[in-house]
Amino acid sequence: MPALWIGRGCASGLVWGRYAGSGRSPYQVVVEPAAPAFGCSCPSRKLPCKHALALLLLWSSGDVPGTDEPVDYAVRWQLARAQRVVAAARRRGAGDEEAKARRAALRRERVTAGLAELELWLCDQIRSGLSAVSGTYWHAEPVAARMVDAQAPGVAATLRRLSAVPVSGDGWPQRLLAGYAGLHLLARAHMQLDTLPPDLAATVRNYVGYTVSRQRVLAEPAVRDHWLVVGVRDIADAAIPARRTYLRGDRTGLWAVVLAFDPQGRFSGNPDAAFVAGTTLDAELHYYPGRPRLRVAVGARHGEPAAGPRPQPRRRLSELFEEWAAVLALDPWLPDWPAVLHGVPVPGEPSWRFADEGGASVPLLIGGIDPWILAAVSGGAQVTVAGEWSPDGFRPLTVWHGEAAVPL
Amino acid sequence: MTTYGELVAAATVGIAQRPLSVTGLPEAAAGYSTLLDSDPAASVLDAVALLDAAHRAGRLFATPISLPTPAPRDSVPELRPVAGRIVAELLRTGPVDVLADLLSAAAHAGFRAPPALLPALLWAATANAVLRDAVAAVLGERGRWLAAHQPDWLRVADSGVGPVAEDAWEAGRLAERRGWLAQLRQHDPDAARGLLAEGWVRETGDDRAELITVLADGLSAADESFLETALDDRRADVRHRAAGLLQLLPGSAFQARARARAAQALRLERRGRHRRIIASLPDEPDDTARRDGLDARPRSQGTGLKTWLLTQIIAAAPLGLWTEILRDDPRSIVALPITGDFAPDVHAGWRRAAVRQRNAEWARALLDVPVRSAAAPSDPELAAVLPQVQRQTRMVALLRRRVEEAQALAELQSCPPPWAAELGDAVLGYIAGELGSHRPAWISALLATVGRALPADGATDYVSELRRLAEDAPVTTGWPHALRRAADLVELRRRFHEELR
Repeated sequence: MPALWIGRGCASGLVWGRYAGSGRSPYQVVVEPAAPAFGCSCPSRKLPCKHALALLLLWSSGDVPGTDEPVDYAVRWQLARAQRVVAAARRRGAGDEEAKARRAALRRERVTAGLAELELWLCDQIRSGLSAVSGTYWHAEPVAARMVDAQAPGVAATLRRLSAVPVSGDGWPQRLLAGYAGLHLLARAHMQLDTLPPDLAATVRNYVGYTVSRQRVLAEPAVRDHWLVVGVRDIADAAIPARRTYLRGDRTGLWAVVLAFDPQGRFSGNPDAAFVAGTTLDAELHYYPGRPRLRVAVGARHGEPAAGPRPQPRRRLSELFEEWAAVLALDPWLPDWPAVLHGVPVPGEPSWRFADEGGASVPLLIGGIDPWILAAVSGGAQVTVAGEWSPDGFRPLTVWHGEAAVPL
Repeated sequence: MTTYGELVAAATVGIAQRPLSVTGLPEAAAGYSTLLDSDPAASVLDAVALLDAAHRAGRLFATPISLPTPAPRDSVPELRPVAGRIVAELLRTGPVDVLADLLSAAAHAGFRAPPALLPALLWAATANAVLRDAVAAVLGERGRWLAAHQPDWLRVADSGVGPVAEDAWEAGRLAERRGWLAQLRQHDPDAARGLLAEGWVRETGDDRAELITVLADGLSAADESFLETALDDRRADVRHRAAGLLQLLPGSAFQARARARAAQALRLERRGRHRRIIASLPDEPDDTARRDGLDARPRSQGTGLKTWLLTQIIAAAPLGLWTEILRDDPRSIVALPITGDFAPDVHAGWRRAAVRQRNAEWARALLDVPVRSAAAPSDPELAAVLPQVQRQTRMVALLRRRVEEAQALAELQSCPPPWAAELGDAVLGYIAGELGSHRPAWISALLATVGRALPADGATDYVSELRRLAEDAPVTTGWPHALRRAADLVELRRRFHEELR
């Protein structure tokens, strides 16, 4: 097959060659592997075409000789491509503020109409009875699909999660009803979006599924502090695998969470997924709008991460309960909240528990971790543990062995 | 007032069937009843939204719980972080034998495992017996405390020589009782035997088989009569172990019986300057001989019963007998011709005796005149009797002679690590001569052994030497990869040992 190739070569990041195909004159094929970008004079509408792919294969198996300078047609192609890229960027920039506002208003209308339909559907469920969906799996799927069309992906995701509740065992009607009530509350809140306090409105928009661009967040004022990485949690079974990194400000005492997403769940090369528990970073964080403030975008970093101190823990579970009630009052939909506690992990059946110095205890959520590491580091004595608090219990993420953080 | 439960019940059936008018709300939600929608369905959702928020905010109450007994304080220091990371890496990727070596070295240097690694170490030792003793040695108080939470872990913890509880003999598990008895045997051998004999008839077969091995330490004539009784035990392995101990007891009646049987087996014939050994096949063993452990069943197909008995009779006798009746030193004796094609059977007996009696002089003589048989211990087993220095000297000589690949590997694998520099150098020389070999399985097995056993410190920088060999090796073979892996392993071991200083 390579016999049909004429004058293959590569230089300055370009690979080229002429291919004697079925056309009268050989096709001129150029590939820029790093972009990647492909060009070919053949009539195929596929991009990349088979000639470009073949050339790329030859190049990757080392069958394309290097030369000093790219040939003329390759240079011409690269120039034309650069001009196209610049023109496209200019067109995008020209999307003026007016058009943006028009799009936003249109979306708001669509969401509002969708949520009104959701309200009708929810009330229908209450009237006809939840027992109708007993033992079924995808009962809310049609309305979830409708919410995707209505550009409310957050609501759609919640409905899909609720679709599985009727097969989740004892007590499912209450869990399903609570989920419906949460959506009902969200739909009502969205109707009055303009009258809500701005931070609450932002929280509502966030749950509905409006996204806020990172650029906009980075334009908000920054909070500079020495941020201690207290815990990292990978959520592998989400629609898109996510990594949550919890930070706590040394000076401000503020909580922050950095989210990173990777469809492959590998998180390699993403600086937002490269935090190591127990290290501290001097950085400027920008909070996403909403309340309570938690999610951040990482702005300027000052210096490299360094080993950090053991965080100040709460010594009484009652203090944790107070904080939880307070943040729940700010956001009634909040699923969980970060916490640093001091106490004794207690192995047991059916569930492990975590006891404070007063001997009061809550369940430990140990799914996906080896709780024995926690027990080993504790040795039956009090330890400092960072994790997520939720109404189901405390999910440990990091335990401190002396001053050293041990991720779980 | 409408409770959460009533709301759930109504919504489950459907309020079209079971109408419900929400009148007031309990507890934290009480003040908000005026916010409810006028539509009945919407008012149910409103009420649940309110009650659920209250429920979530106050759902979990801290319940009192009894706290676990804390682990005793450790007096031994933890491995430092770098060493801990090396242990974690080896736990993830292996090889486990190297991990076992490093953990033993750490225990020897007075360190214990960092607590965070204890669960992984205990799981690994549960799954892999190679790690058991080494892990048990680095558990520390914390590890033993943790091990008490899982039966599998407890078995690992028991395989170490930990402090033994006072009442272990009466109340402990078998491993604890053995440990307790072994300690007593060390400072009062008679008392230990006395105690064992006292309760002997009440012990289970498993316990007897395990506990009798304690007597190997500090064996003396005083143990003879007890061991003689054990020859009549119901359990074969108890009888076998008792016979093994009696065989090592100089001047015992057992030895006298064994000598008498063996003296019939071989004699020296001299014709002028020619000497040879005449071997006579024994008769069927009598009851006494059976009691002394002679196995009267043919060993396998192709081995006659009589020749197998000959091997056993020679194996049971003290090796000193042969220098007496054949009137020469071991080196000359093993070189003598033997009549009737019995050389393999006689040598097998001598080889077994040399291993059993740990007689280095005989072992060396037998290794120099190899006569092999299926019933005989292999060369590496015999070489294990030699003192470490002689053993490595012999290995160096073998490598210089360029023995066959499989034998070289088997012998090297049985040379306990770490090797002396002389052997290390000889191994590198050997590898340099073998770079043409194309046997991937052999190459990787050889270098796994080499990576484990080459000295990690000393004058020669084996890491660089291995990497240099990897450069020289043909790229298409398994050598470069295996050599680099071995180099990495030696480097890892070097870093670990630096951390133990």
